[in-house]
Amino acid sequence: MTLYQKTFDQFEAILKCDMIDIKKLKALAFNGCPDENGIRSLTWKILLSYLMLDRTKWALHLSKQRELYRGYIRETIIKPGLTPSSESAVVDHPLNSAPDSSWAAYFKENEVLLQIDKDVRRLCPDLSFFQRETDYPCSEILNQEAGFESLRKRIESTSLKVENRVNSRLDLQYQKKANHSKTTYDMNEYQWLPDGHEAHWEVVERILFIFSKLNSGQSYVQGMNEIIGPIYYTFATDPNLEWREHAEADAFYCFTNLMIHIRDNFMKIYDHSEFGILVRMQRFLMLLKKTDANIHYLFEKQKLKPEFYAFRWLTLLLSQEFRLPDVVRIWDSLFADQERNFEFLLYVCCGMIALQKDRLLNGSESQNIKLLQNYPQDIDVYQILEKAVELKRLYVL
Amino acid sequence: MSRPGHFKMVLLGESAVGKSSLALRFAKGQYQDHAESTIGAAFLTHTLQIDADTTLKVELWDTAGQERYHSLAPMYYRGAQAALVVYDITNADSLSQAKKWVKELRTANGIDMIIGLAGNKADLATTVNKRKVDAREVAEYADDNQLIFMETSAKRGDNVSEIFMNVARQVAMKQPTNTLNKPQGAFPPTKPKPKGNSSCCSSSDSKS
Repeated sequence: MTLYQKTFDQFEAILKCDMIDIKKLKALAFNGCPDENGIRSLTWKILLSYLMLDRTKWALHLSKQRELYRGYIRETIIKPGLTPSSESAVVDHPLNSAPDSSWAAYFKENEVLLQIDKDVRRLCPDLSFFQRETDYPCSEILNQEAGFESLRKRIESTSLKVENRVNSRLDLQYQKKANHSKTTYDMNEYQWLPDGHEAHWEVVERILFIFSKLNSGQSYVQGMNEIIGPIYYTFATDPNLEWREHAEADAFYCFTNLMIHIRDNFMKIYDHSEFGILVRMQRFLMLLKKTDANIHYLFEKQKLKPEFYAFRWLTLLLSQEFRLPDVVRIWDSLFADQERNFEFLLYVCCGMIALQKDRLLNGSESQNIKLLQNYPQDIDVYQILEKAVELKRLYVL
Repeated sequence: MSRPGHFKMVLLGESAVGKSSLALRFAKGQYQDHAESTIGAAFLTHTLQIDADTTLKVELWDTAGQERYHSLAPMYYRGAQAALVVYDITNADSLSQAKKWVKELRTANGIDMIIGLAGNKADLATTVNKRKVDAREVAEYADDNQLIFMETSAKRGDNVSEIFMNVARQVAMKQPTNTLNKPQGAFPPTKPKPKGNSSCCSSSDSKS
């Protein structure tokens, strides 16, 4: 029996039990989940605390959570979609400048929605997956009657409103032309599919929009698209159709749980807090100094600050540094290790540097920044992870 | 034997105005329809032939546009001799953001910094009627603030090397090449200002 087959069987055995042995599962997942049979998709749901360890409770839990998510869609997307008959429109109106006016909140949300829209349209541009049509478009939205304002319509009309407002400040000459232009939204990016059809990026857009509304203190920050991307991709390509069908709701919860651990990275106000990004970068630098004093010294001499490369590495959990199959492999290890605030990530970063040591020692400052910002793709990700494990054995953070 | 000089330059502007596309067009002559969003900042270099015996290597920091990442910006513009502030001609709000960046740069780096202002996505103005910012108004603003202004199209390549070249020439004029490769310390430190208020007055400056 090959080692791969053995690992595969071990996973299957653990995931079949009524009570999941989380210790064993983490140990296995740390060394990588098999790509087959939806094992990664299921393992992540457990590691990200979406599924409890008692397997007999899953069916009920999942149906509850998924129903709850449908409720979120109704509350955050369908209900606020202001229609001419909506009650609030009678007492409230678009020019109401009171801070508690539902219109004011509505306009504020539209700004967030436009930002999400810009970002999800350019998610994983090298991969056609997100532009492809999903087999499971949102039934809640498809079943709505005409007149309901979908996110698509909202994006379209928001762009129009912004432009009209702006037009009034402009030269007559331009205003005239603008009034004649029919489509104003920039459609040369990803196209919307016909009504009743949705591309995967649109599903991701909805997840992020709901997340931003339910977490209004934090809202949406650029980069979160790079965190939800691999999770949704893993769930939406699950060979088991029963899981795949619910990829949207499941990915929403797993993303929300993951954000609990890493949200400080995305918030300016936490930059200096214990788990904020600046402190994490300092911890990374301390570890680098321990694992390789020469490189640490060189970086200091070259004024090569961790902000120049590690900021993105740490904030996005390396999702922009590698191709998607490699990213999900790294995340297997990270998720298996997450209770320690993604400490292993710091070792992976040091491993990445260790494997480029010779080039770095001979590189100029700008060559080195470029190297670290465009990490060589010819290196096997397993080599990096092996190195990280070795460093972890040798050096305590 | 003249070692080529180099200078540090930073790209600033609202998200999705095309900063990374301008950087890519400038450094590699390429264009990507769907570029992933920039987190933190990306670093690129490109060497320009200013004239027969001057080459200048531009060390370009392409920064992230979203507000969350603004607090990182000073790290990139500090010690930079030049900046290119970018807005999108189809988005008037992006011009207001660009003006804020110009103000912040002048406050932090003083009048010596060479600043270019690029009105990007100019291709959209001619192919479809999408223009929302009047070039003449911006040109006036640029004049008042000593900015090198051009409308650019990273997609078609219009004016991209031109605006970088103009900025580089001015950097070269201000600093003879032989001083350009000196470390940052060679440049005058920036005056700290008491507050965001712009009514800071010097003795020779009288306002009416």
